[in-house]
Formats: sequence, structure tokens, C-alpha cells
Amino acid sequence: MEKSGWIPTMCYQCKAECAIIARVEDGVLKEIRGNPNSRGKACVKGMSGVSLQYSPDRLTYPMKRVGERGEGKFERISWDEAVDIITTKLKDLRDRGEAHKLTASFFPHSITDPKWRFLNAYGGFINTALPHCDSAKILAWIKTTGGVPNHHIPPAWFTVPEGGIMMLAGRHAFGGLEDASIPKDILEAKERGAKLVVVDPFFTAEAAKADQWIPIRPGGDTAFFVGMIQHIVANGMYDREFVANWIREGDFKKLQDYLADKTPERMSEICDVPAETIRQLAEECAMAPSVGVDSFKGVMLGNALDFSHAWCIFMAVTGNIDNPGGQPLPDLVPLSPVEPAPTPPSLHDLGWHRTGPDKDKFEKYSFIMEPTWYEAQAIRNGDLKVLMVAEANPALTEMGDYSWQKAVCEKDENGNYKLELLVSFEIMLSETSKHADLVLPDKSYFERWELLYMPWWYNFGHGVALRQPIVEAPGECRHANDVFIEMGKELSPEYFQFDDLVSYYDIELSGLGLSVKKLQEMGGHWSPGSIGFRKYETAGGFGTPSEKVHLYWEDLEEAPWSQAFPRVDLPLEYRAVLDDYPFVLVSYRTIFHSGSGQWTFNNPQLRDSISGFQENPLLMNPVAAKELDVSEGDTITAESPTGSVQIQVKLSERIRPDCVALGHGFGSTVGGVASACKGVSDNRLIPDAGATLDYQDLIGGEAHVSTRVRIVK
Amino acid sequence: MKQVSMMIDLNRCIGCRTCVVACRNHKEIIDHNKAMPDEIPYYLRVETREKGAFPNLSMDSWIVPCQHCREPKCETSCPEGAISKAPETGVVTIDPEKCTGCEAKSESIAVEKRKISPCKGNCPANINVQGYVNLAAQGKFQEALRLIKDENPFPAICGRVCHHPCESACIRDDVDEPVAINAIKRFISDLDLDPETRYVPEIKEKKDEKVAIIGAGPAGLTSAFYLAKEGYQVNVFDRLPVAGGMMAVGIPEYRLPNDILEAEINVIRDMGVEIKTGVTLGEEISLDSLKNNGFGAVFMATGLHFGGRLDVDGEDLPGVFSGLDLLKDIALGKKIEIGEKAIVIGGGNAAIDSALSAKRLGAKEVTLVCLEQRDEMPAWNKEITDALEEGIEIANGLGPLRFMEKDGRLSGIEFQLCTSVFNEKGEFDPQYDDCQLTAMETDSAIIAISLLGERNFAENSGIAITSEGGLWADPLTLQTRIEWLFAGGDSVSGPKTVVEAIASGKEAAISIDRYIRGFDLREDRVKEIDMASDVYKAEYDPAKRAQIPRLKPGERAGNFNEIEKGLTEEMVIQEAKRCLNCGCSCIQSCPYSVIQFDGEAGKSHKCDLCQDRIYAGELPVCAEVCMTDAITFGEYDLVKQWAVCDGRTIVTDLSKGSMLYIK
Ligand SMILES: Cc1cc2nc3c(=O)[nH]c(=O)nc-3n(C[C@H](O)[C@H](O)[C@H](O)COP(=O)(O)OP(=O)(O)OC[C@H]3O[C@@H](n4cnc5c(N)ncnc54)[C@H](O)[C@@H]3O)c2cc1C
Ligand code: SF4
Ligand code: SF4
Ligand code: SF4
Repeated sequence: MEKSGWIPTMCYQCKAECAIIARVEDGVLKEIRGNPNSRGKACVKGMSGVSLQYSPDRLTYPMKRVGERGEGKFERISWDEAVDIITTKLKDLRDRGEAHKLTASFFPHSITDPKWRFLNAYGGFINTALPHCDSAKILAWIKTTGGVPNHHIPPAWFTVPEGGIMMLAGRHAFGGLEDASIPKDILEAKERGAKLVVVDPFFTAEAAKADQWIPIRPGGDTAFFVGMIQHIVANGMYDREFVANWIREGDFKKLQDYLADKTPERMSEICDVPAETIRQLAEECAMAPSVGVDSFKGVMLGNALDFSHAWCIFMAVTGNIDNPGGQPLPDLVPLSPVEPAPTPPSLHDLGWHRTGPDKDKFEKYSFIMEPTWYEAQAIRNGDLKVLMVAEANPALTEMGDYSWQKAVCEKDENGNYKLELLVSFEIMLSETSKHADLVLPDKSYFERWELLYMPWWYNFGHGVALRQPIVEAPGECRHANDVFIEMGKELSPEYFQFDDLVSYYDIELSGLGLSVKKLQEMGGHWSPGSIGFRKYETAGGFGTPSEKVHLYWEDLEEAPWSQAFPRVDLPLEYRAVLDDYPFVLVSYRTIFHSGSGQWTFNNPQLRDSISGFQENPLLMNPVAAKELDVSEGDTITAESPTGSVQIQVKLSERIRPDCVALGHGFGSTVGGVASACKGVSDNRLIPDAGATLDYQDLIGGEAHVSTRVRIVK
Repeated sequence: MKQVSMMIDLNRCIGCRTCVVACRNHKEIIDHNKAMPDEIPYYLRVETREKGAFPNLSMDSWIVPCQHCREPKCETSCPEGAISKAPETGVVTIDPEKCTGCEAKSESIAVEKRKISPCKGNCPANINVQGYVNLAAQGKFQEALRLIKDENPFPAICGRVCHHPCESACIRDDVDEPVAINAIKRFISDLDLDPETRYVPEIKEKKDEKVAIIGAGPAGLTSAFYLAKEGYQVNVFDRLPVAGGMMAVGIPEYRLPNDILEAEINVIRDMGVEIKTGVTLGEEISLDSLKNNGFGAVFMATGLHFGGRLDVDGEDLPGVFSGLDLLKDIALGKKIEIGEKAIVIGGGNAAIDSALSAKRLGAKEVTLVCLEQRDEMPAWNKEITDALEEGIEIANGLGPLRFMEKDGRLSGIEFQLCTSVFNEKGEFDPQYDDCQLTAMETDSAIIAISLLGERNFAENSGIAITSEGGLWADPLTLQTRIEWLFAGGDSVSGPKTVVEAIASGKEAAISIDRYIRGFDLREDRVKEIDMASDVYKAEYDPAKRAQIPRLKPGERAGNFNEIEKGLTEEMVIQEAKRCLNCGCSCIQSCPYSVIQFDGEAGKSHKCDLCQDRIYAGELPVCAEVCMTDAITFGEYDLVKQWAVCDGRTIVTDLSKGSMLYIK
């Protein structure tokens, strides 16, 4: 296969998976562009895919650990031996009645990803590549509207009308993490006369382009939104028609009672946004033809569920659900099922890997795919025995001061590892694979077939998109999907009766009158081309039990705290240790890196000072630094209640004086490029589940991005 | 004019660098298998400017590709003529066939070749030394002159009097002796004396704003040169009857002939600068009067024009001169009676100039007496050698105690022994032994110990003075505490050199231009200079350093004829070939630092605006891939028209080449 020319495929430098075209010359990948037949843009990570493809660190044959876990010593083995080790262990686990103690950590490229099918058939669970960062957003929208907008489903910025308001509350929209066309769409909407408002303690690239920047106190978002809702409702500026027709009987009255004392003045004290600003923005939002809100950091705090709830209420009372410029409620065209379909293991009975003081209470926060939240925790509890990781790097992504790395090395009283088998599918050695028992060379996204079928329509609509091999994989690389199918054929043959990955996709596509080949000939994606607005009107209502929007969540009336309506206070983790740890750590993202994956952190172009983001000094406001007698370039120690790091200070006006900012995802020490560059992992400062479980468990949110720190010279 | 351009919209650019990577991939200037961060070439980069303080901030980003300048400095600087501007597109390209990478010899020097050569890095005026040396090696003197005059309006003067830190840093010294850079410069610059070959820079659009400069020394005149070039109306005022400052009345003719000085100052006059001599600030004019007469900014470059006093008995006797006054009087043609015997007091360059001048005035015996021992003397070694050559006696370690009188005039000087000049901290703190006295007879004494500035006008106009007695100005911007008043040269720094005064005048011009246009004075002022040090020295022209012809000591007595002569053309070419080509000429000449060096090919390379794509009707790659469609490609005049019609602001401080930046 020596291809030449521009070939359409799908990027996978981050989870947006933008449609791209790639130029291949005699079988060598040369260049990348956004696919002009799709949304047309690719970002700097996407462009740097060429460097990823030809990295000298690519793994080319399977390896088995020699020595202790974490030492990073391996020997070459055959694929047969590797697969045999895994299937033998999995048979044993299943025979012990502990199949549910298998977790595979990966990013599902479709809701019918064959790896997921394998888990369902075998009886294990999925952990979606990282502790689920947007769970609170998903949960809130399900409770309120029955729909599932996750963090890949922002407002359709290209539909924002003149006068519409675009609000980014802790969302790095220019990072291209939803689609690379979003920066352009936002800036074009601005040129059309829409207003961009950025709510963030950090002056981001988006804030630089915003009409209004609101440097809010971290965690104050709930209070800020509730203050706006109060002003809108109390002054009768809400969308009367939507409230009358689409909000569940009685909920609005309850809301009015709840709001009675939530005046902008009171909320202002919590969120540090002037009451005048809260009122001004509330009025503008009430008058605007549309308001679209996107948030990410806001849904990763301890009170994320409260904030997500406030966000839903705000969108409902301003009539901005599923309208142009507002919050879309996505749907999917159905694919054909591959029969027989396996029944997944019961989450309720077996899926409680995440432990806490009161499992039953936590149940209220459950949603479709209960993951193994914290692997470190589950290993220590004995709930996780086999872990297979593909395209994920939990060794760095899990919170806690190297908690995951410590947990996978822990042994029981007999001297056996608590985690019995750790398998890493990777294209290049990562911090995670360094700890693995088996390291299996995966195919890059330029070397494999993959059907993308997810409701993130920003890039491929309510449809499907095809990733196709455009260059040969080096050495003995195999796509993890193919390996899982092979294992499925051995362990659960009744569910793996199809030939291979492509024939599996062919069956799925047949319902649309498509096949992989046809889709390939069509240019790689199929979509009805519409988003559809106010679909609830034609559907006769929302997906909630009452078919109306639920502002009030009665099932949460008597959690340890009532969360039937949002609690407006700052998250507990920001209040508990306030005196000892005066700063809030803001972990920010840039367009150059995605998560903490080696794909971007071990990529020379993305760590180059000219074209990327090399290291992450701690950003401090000069006013705060002066008080502590800290100067530019000083090396200080940043301490949180659970961890500490040594780091250089860079002074910046861009951060609130009561915060310090740290670029997210750094810390990799594996690989030629990553090990040559500096960088500190923010997750070393952020507590792991074990440290904050007692309250996090019960409020349905995790402090993914939040902790308090102090600076020691 | 035919000129394709890219218009970069700062309202759109988000600084994502997608274009940077796409460009690299397209141009294949990266080896993906080997690339390491910070070692990968790039044809464009992103710059970001943050302004304000929390929470009132703004931040802009934009790309910097090759600007495809109207008058590309890279083109002028290339000794091989490899760089050209295409007449049909205005695109500036480097022809890889012709480019030799400035004689790049080996792969091992690739990193070094990207750096600034030490000669340029050490030149206070930042002249592209390697560039003009290399051009001279090819006999391209006119081009070399242009390159020099981009950075220095007084090359013929510097070619004679500069203390040439470039030569002190020259790496060729590791092999045998430094390249005779200054002599090469002198030869090139003498072209400027001939009105036929003189280089008068083009004046940009005339501006209405007026700038006043006090002091027609090198600092003042340099800022006049650059401000006039920018189009400002410049008036220079000086209290002396002649222009040139110390170049006219300090440095003696035998080192700097008057006609040279005249010729270089005339270029500045030709550029429209009015130099008004015999006008003193504090007398005929004042800061207020300047302001009232519509001057938007003033640059004070008043130098140091008072000689320090010894404060010993008899200092005011007839026969005791101030060295400074003596040199000034000679320069202004006054008649001076110096007698047979003269003693000069002082150990610096000015003392030596006084001694040599005394000799030329007819003194038979000239003795230079100073506190310092020979190796402690502040005068440059070369000057000391010159003095000894001409038979000047040097008496070290003596401090004057009193001037002796006979018949109402000076008859001799009594000295005491100076036991040490500097204390442990290295500060000037002379210690004497007053038991050891020496007396010397003399007809005249010349005091040349220190230079002082005038403070009256400063104190009267509220200009801050430093503890050392200089004018106070911000070291980076040269702005004084009076917003519209700038100060530089010796009056701020204390006694320095001509080239340092030139450097100061250049900085002042930048500040004043920014001040008048309302731009930030401080932004991007500090430039890190990364100098080549590990230079390839295996293959070089083995010739010895050229000997500079000089008048024999015997030929010098009784006249002020120039001592040093120039090199011949052949000597200059041969000498220039001794250069080791530490860096690349074009890389050092580009004001935007966009040129890259390819170690493997041993050539420079850069953005060509994707010329092949333009011909095929496609966009340059950066414009095609830009995430936010921030880049509009088109004919310069058309995109500019588009910007104007759309009511957009042109960011003039960025739009200096052929790229247009708008907001
Ligand atoms: C004897 C001697 C020899 C030197 N030799 C060398 C050498 O070989 N090489 C070298 O590089 N450097 C040499 N220097 C140093 C060099 O000349 C000075 O560093 C340089 O000229 C300083 O430039 P400037 O523009 O700051 O001041 P100046 O050259 O001193 O010019 C200042 C001008 O301001 C005028 N002025 C002052 N006050 C007023 C007022 N109130 N109103 C109007 N006008 C006013 C003065 O008349 C003068 O013309 C020498 C200096 C001396 C004294
Ligand atoms: S920007 Fe530099 S390389 Fe480009 S034309 Fe101008 S001087 Fe030459
Ligand atoms: S050898 Fe040439 S380039 Fe190097 S310092 Fe000397 S003159 Fe400059
Ligand atoms: S791709 Fe566009 S937005 Fe990004 S840095 Fe380049 S010019 Fe700016």
C-alpha cells in the first residue's frame, strides 16, 4: 500500500477528532489540513501529527516486563505470547467470579467501540480514559432535560445570531478540543455582532478576544449564575413562553422561593463579581436573541453538580435550550446492531468500584456509564484486578501525588501485586506503559480503520465518520481494536461472530445503506447535515419522566446536603483549608496539549518554544509575588494539603492575585522529547479520591482541577 | 510597485501556531524522526504583546514571517548576491545555488552559524560587521557602505577614532591576529566623503512633528540622522561655533581631519536637518521656548565640556591650561603660546591628546605625569604607544602638590609620591607619601584629569542629576523625568566614546519616535544577543594582518597631519578575506530575525511566501491553514484598501515591511 495524494481521514491528536485530509507521498505522510468538505480546520496538534507518526520513540513489538513494576525494564515477546498472557489471566478472573474486576481504560471512539463490546461481553467495566471530567454536566442535563450534552457538545457557535451572547465560563474554546473550527466560528459570530463574555480567573486567549472578561473567584460560578437567574426571575425578564409551556408544573414556583434571598449583592460576596456586573449581564442575557454557555473547569470542581444545575436552570429560564445559539440537545442516527448484542454487567450490583462512606447515596449521581472512577482507589480496595489501558495515561492523569503509580506497585501480604495484570497499548512508551506488565505496540491513527460514531456533531454531525489507514504501521504494531476482537473471539465467541473490525463496522453501517468501502468512497463521512432546533416540540417533550424540564431535583432533597436546588457556596475544598493555603491553583490548558498523553507531550513540535508549549512555570500575579517577596524566575515550593512540587515562578498580570496558574498535563519523563523538557504535573498537587472522598462522593463532583496551595520560598 | 502581501488581522489571530507547524511540514524543514524542541527551523513565528495590569488587560498575537521588505537589508548584506526581490511579486528569495552560507565549511558549526558574530555583537552601534567585511572581500564597497550606514551615520569618523571593540572580540585573534576591521571600515567609508559615491538615505514620508536636539556631538547628530530619516523636522542647537561636539573640539586633527568630519555632518544637513551653532540652551533658548515653538520632544546630548580642577595652590597662574580648553582652542584656530617645556597632568586619552598636541604646538619637551602606574593608566595602550613613539616622557605615580610661581607666571610643579591609586574595593582613593617630593620645571602645565558636565541649565529646568553628576535618564528609554525630554551620550553616561554616543543617539531616536506616535517606549527594547563562539577555524586565509601605514614620528612634529593612513583597495580586499565568517551576513542583517540556517546544506533559507503556490493560484500555506482565517493574501495596495474601506486600523509599528497588520 504505497498511497499518494490527499486522503480524508480523522485526526486523533485530541478527543475532538476533527475531520482532516492528509497528504501522502509514496506511502509517507507529509502534511495535514482540515477537511474542506467538513468543518475545514485542524489545529496545531493536528498539524503536528506528522511528527507523532515518525517519532523515533514508536513502539514496534510487544514487550513483557522484567524486574519490578515501574522499573521500566522489558523484553521482547511475540504477539501470541502477549495475547496468551492476557486471555489466560482473564479466564482465571472470570472463573473466580470476578470478571467485573477487569477495567479497560480507553477513549471510546464510538458508542459501539469494539473494546467496549468486549467488556460488555466479558463482564468488565470501562473507564473512559480519565476520571470522567464532565460527569457533572452530563448528569445535570440528564436530570433537567433527559438529554446528554457532554463537554464535546458546546453551543453551535456558527448558529449564533447578531446580538447573541456567547459565554465561556472556564472553557478554553480556542483550544480546539471540541472542534478546530470553533475559534473561527466564535470570532465570526463576534463579527456578526454577537458578544463574547469570558468568565475565568485567568486571562485566557479567549479573554483576549472577549468583549467582557469577568475574572471570577474560582468556584464562584454557581453563585454568579444563580445571581443572574435571581435578577432575571425577580424582574420578570425570563422567557415566559418557555417557562409556561416547557417547565414542569410547580418547579418555577419552587425556583422563585429558592431565589428569594439569592440577590446579586449576596452572590457577589461569594463569587467576587460586582453585583452591578451580575445585573448587567443578566439583563443582556435576558434581552439577547440567544445565549450559549460553554464550561469545562466549572464542571470539574467539588460543587460541579451544583454549577451544572445552575447552568441548566439559567438556560431554561432564558429559553436557550435547543435553539440557535443556545445549548443543543444532540441525537444520533441509529446504526444497525451487531447481533447478538452482549448485555453489560450490572452497574448497580457490580460496578461500585468507587467506594465511599455511603454507596447507596452515591447511586443518585449515577448515569449511563459508571466508570471505575479512581483506579488507585479501586486497586487498594481490591475492586480492580486487571487493568488494560489504551490511548490513556492514568499514571499522570489521575489526581494525587503519583497515587496511581504507587497503587499499581502495591503488593498484598503474600508479596503479589494487588493489581494482578496491567496491560498498556501504546504507540510510544508512556509513564503508564513504564509501569505495565505488557506493553503492546498500537497503531497510530494514520494506520488503522475506525468508525467514529458519537453525538459530538460539531465535527461530524449526527452521523458517522471514517478513520482509514493511509500509511503502513511500523514493525509489528497492531490496532488495540483488532487485539480486543481476537480476545473476544476466544473468550466470548458468541458475540464475536464477525470476521474482523471492518466487517463489524460494515454490519453497523448496513442500516444506513453504507459500508466501510462506500463511506470511504464518499469521502469518509456521512451526516444528515442538520442539527435540528427545538426538537422537543416535534418529539412532544423532553426525555425526562414528565417530558418537561425539571428545575427541581427531588431525588437529591435529602442527601447530606439538599441539592434539590444548587448550593451557591464555594466548593468545600476551597473553604476547608483557606487559612493555611491562601492560593487557589488554577490549572489551565492550552491548544498545544491534550490531557497528559505522550502524543502531544512527547511531540517535538508541540514542545518547541516557537510552535508549542515547552514547560509550565507557575504563574503568579506580581502583586501577590511582591507580598511574598518572590521574583520572576525564583524556584519555589507549591504545597497543597496532599502534595508538593518545586517549580519556577513566572510573573503574570493574567492571573488573579489570589490564584496561581499551572498549565495542565505536564510531568512526563518518558520519551526523547518529553524527558528533554521540563514540566510539572498539576495532578501532583490535586488530591486523589482517597483524600477528599468523604465529601466528594456525596455531592457528585470531584475536585479535578481544584485545590488550594501555599507558596514556600 | 508590484508587491504581494499578507494582511494579518490581530482581532483574529489567537496565537495558536497552527500555521508555524503547517509551514514547516509543507516546506519540509523538519526531520520528524530526529527533531528536538528548540532546534527545529521555522519560517514564521508568533509574537504576543500583553498590556495593562490585572484586571484591565489586553493581549494581541500576530505572526512574523519574512516581511519581504521594500528595501531588504538581507539583500544588501549578502556578499554573494544570492538574495533578490522578484520584480513581478516583490517576494524576496535566497537563491540556494548562489548562497554559500557565508563560506559555511562544516556541519559542526550549524548552531553557531545561526548566531551573531562577535564583531557585530560587541559593536555598540550593532553594525553588521561581518556583512561589510564579507562585502569588502568581494570588492562590493558601495553595498558595504550602505550596510554600515544603516547603523552608523559616522563611519569615516569611526573608521579613524573608534576604539573598535569589534576587533577586540574578533575570533581570528585565536588564530593569529584580529581582522583589521576598522581599517576596512575606514576604506569603505571614505566613499562617503565623495559627493559622487556618498550614501544619503531615503527619507520616509515627511512628518509635521518637530524635534529639537541640544548638542551637535555624535549622540545628538545621530539621533538627528535617524529622526530625519523617519521624516521628522529636526533642529540641532549647539553653543559652539562648529558642529561635531568632541569630534570637532576634542579629538585632534591628526587623528580626525576636519574635512572628514565636515563631510559626514554634511550628509545630515543634506537630509534636511538644521544645525544651529552658537545657540546655548539656558541663554538664547530654553525648554519652555522650545515647547512654545512647537517642538514635540527634546533630546539633550550636551556632553561633558568642563575640565576637572585639581584644587591645589597656583592652579590659576598664567601658563596653567585646561586640557579641554587647549584642544578646543586649537580646533577653533586660536593662537596658543605653550613654551619649550610642557607638563601634562592626567593618565587618560585626553591627556595623551593634550600631550601630542602640545608637541605639535612647538613644545620640545613634553612630560605626562599621572597618579597611576603604567599598567593602571586609563588611556588605551595604543595611545600610550603613540605617545612614547613621539618622545613623550611618562612619569608615573606622582600627584601635583602645588604649582610654583616665578615672575607672576608658572615656573614649575611640585609633586608628591602617590603610593596607591585605588583602594581594596577598586575605588579611586589615592594615597600619598608627602615626604617624597619631586619638583619639575616647566613653561606650561596642562590639566587633563576629568571631564564634567554643565549643571546650571539642568538644575534651572528641573532635570534630575545623578550622584555622579550626570543627567538622569531611564537607562532603557533615555526618557528623563520630564516626559517629552530625553537625554543621552556622555552627559548621561559620563565620558565614553564616539560609537557609544552614536548608540545612545539611535536609542533616543527610537524612543522619541515612539513617544511622538504614542507607543510604548519599553516594549521589545532589550534584545538578547546570542554570539557565536565555537567557530570553525580549520580552513582560513593564512595571510597576516595588514599593517596600517602611519606617518613616521619625525614627520609628525609641528603639524596636525593625520597620522594613520588608509589601506589600499587590494590590501582591504585581502584583509577582509581573513575573516572567519563566524555567522551569516543575512541572518545578522535581518531586522526581523526570520532567516534560518541549514547546517546540512550549509545555506541560509527562509519564507518565500510559498511563491510556487502563488503562481499556481493557491494561498501561502499559513494563510490556507490559519485556524481563524486571520490572514488575507493579496496585492499590497488592494489589501490595504480593503482594510481602509472596512474601517480597520493599520498597526503601523508592525507594518513596516510589506506585510500589513490590522486591528
Ligand atoms: C580629547 C578627547 C579625545 C577623545 N578621543 C576619542 C577617540 O579617539 N575615540 C572615541 O571613540 N572617543 C573619543 N573621545 C570621546 C568622545 O569624543 C565622546 O565620548 C563623544 O564625543 C560624546 O558625544 P556626545 O554627543 O555625548 O557629546 P559631545 O561630543 O561632547 O557633544 C556635546 C555638544 O553639546 C554642546 N552643548 C553642551 N551644552 C550645551 C548647551 N547648554 N547649549 C547648547 N549646546 C550645548 C557642546 O558644545 C557639544 O558640542 C574623546 C574625547 C576627548 C575629550
Ligand atoms: S524580513 Fe528579513 S529576510 Fe525578509 S526581506 Fe526583510 S530583511 Fe530580508
Ligand atoms: S572573524 Fe570575521 S566574523 Fe568573526 S569576529 Fe572577526 S571579523 Fe567578525
Ligand atoms: S494559525 Fe492563524 S490564528 Fe493561529 S497563530 Fe497562525 S495566524 Fe494566528
